[in-house]
Amino acid sequence: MSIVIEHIGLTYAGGTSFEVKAVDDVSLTIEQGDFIGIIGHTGSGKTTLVQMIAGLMKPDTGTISVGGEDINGRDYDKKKLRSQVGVVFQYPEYQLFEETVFLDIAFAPKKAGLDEAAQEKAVRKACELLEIDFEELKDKSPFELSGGQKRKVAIAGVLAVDPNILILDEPVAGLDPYGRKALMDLITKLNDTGKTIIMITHSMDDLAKYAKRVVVLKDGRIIRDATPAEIFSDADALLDMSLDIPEASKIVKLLNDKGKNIPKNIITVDGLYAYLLERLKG
Amino acid sequence: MLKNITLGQYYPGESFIHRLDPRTKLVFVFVMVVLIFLFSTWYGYALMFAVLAASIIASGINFRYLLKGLKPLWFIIAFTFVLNLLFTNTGKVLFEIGRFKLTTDGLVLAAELVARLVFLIMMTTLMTYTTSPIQLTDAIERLFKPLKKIGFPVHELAMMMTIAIRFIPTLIEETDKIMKAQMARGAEFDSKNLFKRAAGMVPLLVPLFVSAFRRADELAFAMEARCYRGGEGRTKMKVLVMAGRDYAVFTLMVLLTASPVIERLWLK
Repeated sequence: MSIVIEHIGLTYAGGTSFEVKAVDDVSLTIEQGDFIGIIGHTGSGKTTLVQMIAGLMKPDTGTISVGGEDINGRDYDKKKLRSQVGVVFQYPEYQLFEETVFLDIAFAPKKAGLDEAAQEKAVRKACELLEIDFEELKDKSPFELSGGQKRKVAIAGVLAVDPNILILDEPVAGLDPYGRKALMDLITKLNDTGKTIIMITHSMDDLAKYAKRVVVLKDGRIIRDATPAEIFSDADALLDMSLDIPEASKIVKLLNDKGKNIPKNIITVDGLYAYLLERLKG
Repeated sequence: MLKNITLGQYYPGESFIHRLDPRTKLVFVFVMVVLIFLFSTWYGYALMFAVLAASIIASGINFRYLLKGLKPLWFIIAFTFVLNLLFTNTGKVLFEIGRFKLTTDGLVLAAELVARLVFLIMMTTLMTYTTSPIQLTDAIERLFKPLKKIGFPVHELAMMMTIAIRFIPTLIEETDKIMKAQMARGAEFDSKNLFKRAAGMVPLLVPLFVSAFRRADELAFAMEARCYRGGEGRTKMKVLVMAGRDYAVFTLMVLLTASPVIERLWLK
């Protein structure tokens, strides 16, 4: 199910002196199974863009279609979109509200109209994906869990409807390195099963390692759209925008400054390690 | 979506009105609002509206923004107007509809009340447009300081107001975020059925309360970590100082206060 975005724009506080063009004439096509990273400065329109894709905000101009249907069309049933597009917001643990973990994860499946047996099945499957101990946690209050567990439960609540497209806004923010790797592995696993991943992040290393495509936003416009290797080999362009670059690219840059002549498209630590090993041997 | 809500919107500026001491503005607006209810002739109203017009010009605030402040209240204004029109029975009858009489007295009274309401709203709106909420609470704290002697917790109340005002935008943003997160999970906040709608608020209200308590806790902790221990002996970063312009405004205010007396004695 592909997403086709055509010339969308959105202006905040239009008509006043506080007017801001959050998203300005953006066009983008995302194929099913893609893994897109969206990067850009605070206020570059990343969150606004993904919220429009999720149908949570309406663009002032332009159209967005998911699976060939205009999601802001008059006859379009938003319910359909809700079970196709899952959204994991920043700090998703703050959206927990139910009495038990089970009920919270079952909220979206229930709203999607599944019967009780199907709800339980969906919850069990989501728990399995996130390595949540179903039997142990299902009757607990989500508010008595630890921070990391809360986030897992919240993400399970989004995955429970088995969405084809998953939007994540800074999913690893505030996680420890272990939790971060576990979550990124899960996202990659979901992508391997054919789900589309759209991820906003400041973690360039995660994108270098996992993403298939990176979109750079600036002042509400797309200024670059290419593979991570292409984007990060132009490290200076990103640094000029005061965006970060992957750790490996930093080392490559330092070595190249010393005249070592290392290909710039090496963007992961593993890749760099393999390259250096090869070169030192030879 | 919720970002459009403005509460006591402050338009930063450098005008004469902006630079006035917030205490001056607060006292002036209060006295003017009392005055408008003391006048009984059109001369008085003309005078008060001239003061309002002069203040608006001196503030440099776009008149359109002030009209926007009236918008949420137009229904109350219209309601008061119609009510006074219909239930005043003295004066010359202009025409009758069933049991209701439209009289000259009714028309005058209704117009008077509308003028008073519009004045009241515009004057206070102008004050909040030109004074930041923090300045206002500062002024309130200073003006009510004498009440401390009878054990009234002036500083605590002012601090609570400051914190409340500070957190309004944060909570609005938070509400917006949680609403969207729950909508993405299929929650509906716009159901036609009233009961469904009330029940639909649970996924919004529970996280909102939890986060408000968390924020309160964190803020209290941060304040104590920075040695906050109430108002005793606490100094201000920005000390309010009366300037020449403030005394000028006070003089004008005293003169204006005399005007209803003059009106009573000579114009009636």
